[in-house]
Amino acid sequence: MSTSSRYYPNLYKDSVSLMTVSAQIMSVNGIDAASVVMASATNIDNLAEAGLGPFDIRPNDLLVALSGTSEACEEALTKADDLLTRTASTGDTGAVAAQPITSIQMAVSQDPSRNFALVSVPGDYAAAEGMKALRLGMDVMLFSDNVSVADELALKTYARDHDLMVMGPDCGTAIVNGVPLGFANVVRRGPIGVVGASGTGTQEVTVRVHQLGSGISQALGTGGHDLSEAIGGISMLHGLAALDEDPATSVIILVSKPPAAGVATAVLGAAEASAKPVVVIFLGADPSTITRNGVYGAAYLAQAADMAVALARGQDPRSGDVAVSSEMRRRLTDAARSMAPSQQFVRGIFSGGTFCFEAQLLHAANGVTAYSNTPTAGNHVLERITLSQDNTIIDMGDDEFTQGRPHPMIDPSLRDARIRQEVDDPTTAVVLFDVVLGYGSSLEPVAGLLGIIGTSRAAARAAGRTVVFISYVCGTDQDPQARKDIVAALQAAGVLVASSNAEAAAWSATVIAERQKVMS
Amino acid sequence: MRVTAGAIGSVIEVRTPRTGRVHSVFTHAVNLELGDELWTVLARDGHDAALTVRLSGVVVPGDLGLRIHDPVCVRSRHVRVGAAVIDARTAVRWMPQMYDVDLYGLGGRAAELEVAARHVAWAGSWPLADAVIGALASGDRSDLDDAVRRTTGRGPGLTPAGDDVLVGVLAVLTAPGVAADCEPVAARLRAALAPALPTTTEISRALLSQASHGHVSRPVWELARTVLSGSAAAASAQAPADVLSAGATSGGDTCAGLVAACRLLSRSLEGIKA
Repeated sequence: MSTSSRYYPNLYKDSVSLMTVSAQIMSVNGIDAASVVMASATNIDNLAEAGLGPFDIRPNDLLVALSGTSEACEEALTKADDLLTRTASTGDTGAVAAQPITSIQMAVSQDPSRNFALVSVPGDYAAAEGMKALRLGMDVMLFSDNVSVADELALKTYARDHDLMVMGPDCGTAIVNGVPLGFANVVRRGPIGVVGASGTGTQEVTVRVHQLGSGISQALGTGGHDLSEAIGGISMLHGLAALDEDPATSVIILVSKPPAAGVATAVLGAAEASAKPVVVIFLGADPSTITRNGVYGAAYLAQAADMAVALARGQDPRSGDVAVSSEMRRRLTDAARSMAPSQQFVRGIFSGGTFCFEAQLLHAANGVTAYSNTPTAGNHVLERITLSQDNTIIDMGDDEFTQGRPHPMIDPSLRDARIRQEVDDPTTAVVLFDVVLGYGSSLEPVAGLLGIIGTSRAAARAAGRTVVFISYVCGTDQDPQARKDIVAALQAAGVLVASSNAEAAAWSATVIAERQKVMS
Repeated sequence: MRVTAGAIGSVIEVRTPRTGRVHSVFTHAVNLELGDELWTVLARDGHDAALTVRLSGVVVPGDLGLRIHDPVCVRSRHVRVGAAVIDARTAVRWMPQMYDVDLYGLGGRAAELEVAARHVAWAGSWPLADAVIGALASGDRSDLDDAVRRTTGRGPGLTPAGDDVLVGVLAVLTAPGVAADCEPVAARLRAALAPALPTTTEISRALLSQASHGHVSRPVWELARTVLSGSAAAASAQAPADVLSAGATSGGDTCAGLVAACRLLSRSLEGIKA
C-alpha cells in the first residue's frame, strides 16, 4: 500500500467538479482512499492524521491525495490531472476570443441558412427565447423544463400557424438529420422516423432499430405534455405530417404514455390517414385499441421497434407478450428457489423515467404490484422516496431526486448508492436497473457500480442471501461508451443483461412471481 | 464586450473609483478582488448577495473572455473587467427583506429542514455544526475556539463544508429580530473565527467575513426567513430548494449550520449563556 498526492496552486474548481473528479478516481481499481479538496489547514491536518500527508501548501491550492497500490495511485493521479487540467486550460489559453454569439438573432445574422435553434436556458426565460427563434423562422428544440402550459400552448400555436415545429419543452432527446441532440445515441441512418413524447422511450426505440440492422431517418421529440388535453398533440401531429412527407422515411413510430382521450383520437386519425405504415406505442394502453388500417399498436417499446423494422422490410409485424426463454426461465427459477426466506421483493432503480414506467407495467402484467415515486395505474405512491417498501420501482431521474443534483444519467453515483442500500436490505430478491448510454450520459456509467455490486453481493452471501442483478443497457456500440464493453463488464460482475428494458422487467417479474409461489 | 448589470448586491459600491483584479473565473461566476472585498459577477439567473453584480442579458460571465489577474476598474457605476465593461447604471439594488422571528414552533421547522438537507449535506457537517453550537451554548471560550478551528476549512468543496456550516450558523445569529439578543454570542463566534480565517480558501474567507456581518446570499436569507419567521406570508416553498441546489454539498452544509443554530435559539434566547 502506498500514498500519493499532487497539488495545483491557486486552482479553483466548483464543488460539483471536485466531487466528480473524486468519484472518478475512487473508481480506479486498487484505490483505497481518495481526497480531492482545497488545501485548507484543517483539511491538511486531517489528511496527515489519516496518513496521507504531510503537505506544505496553501489554502488556495487544490490537493489530490490517494492511498492504494502504487500502480493504482499512478493511474488515478494521471486521471485526476487530465480531468483537472483539461478544463482549467480552456480558460487560460491566452488567446483572444472571437466575438461570441450571444443571441439567436446574432446567429441568424451571421448565417441566414440557420433554421434550427436548441434552447437550453432556465425555464423562466425559455419561452421568450423559443418565441424569438420561431419569429426568425426557425424550428425549435426546447431542452428547458419549467415552462408554463400557457407558454407552451402559445409557442406551439404560433409554430403550427407558421408551419414550424416546437420540440419540447423538456425535450431531452432528438436525432435531426443524423445529428444526436440532448441525450441521444449514435444510430445508423435509415428508413424509420420517430416522433416521441418520451426521451428514454425514444432512445430505446432508436437503439433497438439500430440493433436490428435498420436505421433512423429522424427522431423528433415533442416534450412530455404535448399529448395533454391542453396542448392537443400539436407537435406530435406536426412531426407525423413532416415524416409523412419525408421521402427518406418509409415507416413511422409514435411513442408516448397514454394521451388524453381526445388527443389520442386525433393522433390515431392522423396516423390512419398517413400514406405510410405507423407503429404506435402508447405505453400502458391496450394495443388492440390502437390497431386500425395502416396503424399498428405495440405493447412495449422494443416491440414497437421490432414491428417497424419488419414493416420497413416488407414483413408482417408481430405483436405479443414479452417472451422469457425456457433456458432463462429455468435459470431465474433456480435462483429464486435458492434464496433466503426473507428475500421477496424487486427493487427497480431507474435513471430513465419511461423505463421505470414500462418496468412497472411489465411487473403488473405478471401480477406484481409495486410502490413507486411515479406509480402507474394500480401501483402505490412510495411514502419516503429514500426508503423502499415491498416491491419498489423508482425513477431516480425524477425531480425529487435531481433537485440540486445532476441527473443520474449524467452522474450515477446516487443511483449506485441506492443499489448498495437495496442489496443490504435482507428483503431484496432482485435488483433491476437500467444503464443509459449515448451523448449527454456519463462516460463511465458503471465504473462505480461494479465495485458496489462485487462488495455488496459478497456481504449478502456472507449473510446467506443471493441477490439477482438484472440490467438493461440502452445504447449502441457506436456510442461514446461502447455498449458491448459495458455489457461485458456487467456480465463479468454477474449481472444478467437483457436485450430490452421490457425483457429485463419480465425476467425480474419471473423471479418475484416464483418467490411469491415459494412463500405461499 | 459591453454588458448590462441587472442587479447589484446590498452593500456593493459602484460609484467610488477603485481598482483590483480578477480572482477566479468560472462559467457562471467571476470573482473580482477589490481591496479586501471579493465581488462576484453572476449570470442573470444567479443569486444575489451583498457583493454581487448580476448580469441582465443572456451572456454568462464565462463568455466575457476573462482571465485570472485581468485588471478591474470601477468608476461612475461602470465596472471594467479585462476587455469587458459592465454597465451598472440601471441596475437595481437587491435589499434583503426584514422580518420578525417567531420562536414558537422553531424546533419543528428546523427539523423539517433537517430532513430535507440530511442527504444533501456532507456527512461530516452535522457533527461539526453540533460541536460549534454546543460550544456556543456552553459559554466555554476554549471549547469554542477549538470547535471553530476544527470546522473552518474542513471537508470537501470549493468552499469547504465546514465553512458553509459556519455561514449557516451566522445567518441565524445575525438574523433581524434576534441579532440584538444574539450579538454577544455572535461576537464570540466572530472572535473565534478571526484567527481561523487565514487557514481556509480566499473565497471562503470572503463569504465568512460577509456572513459575520449578517450578509448572506439571497437564498440563504430567504431560507432563514422562512424558518425563523414561521409566518405563512414569509414562507417560501422555493427557499430550501434554492439553498440545497448550491454546489455539490454546500447548500446542505449551510442548512446543517442553520438547523443547529435554530435549535439553539429554540431552547430560548434566555438559555444562551452570553
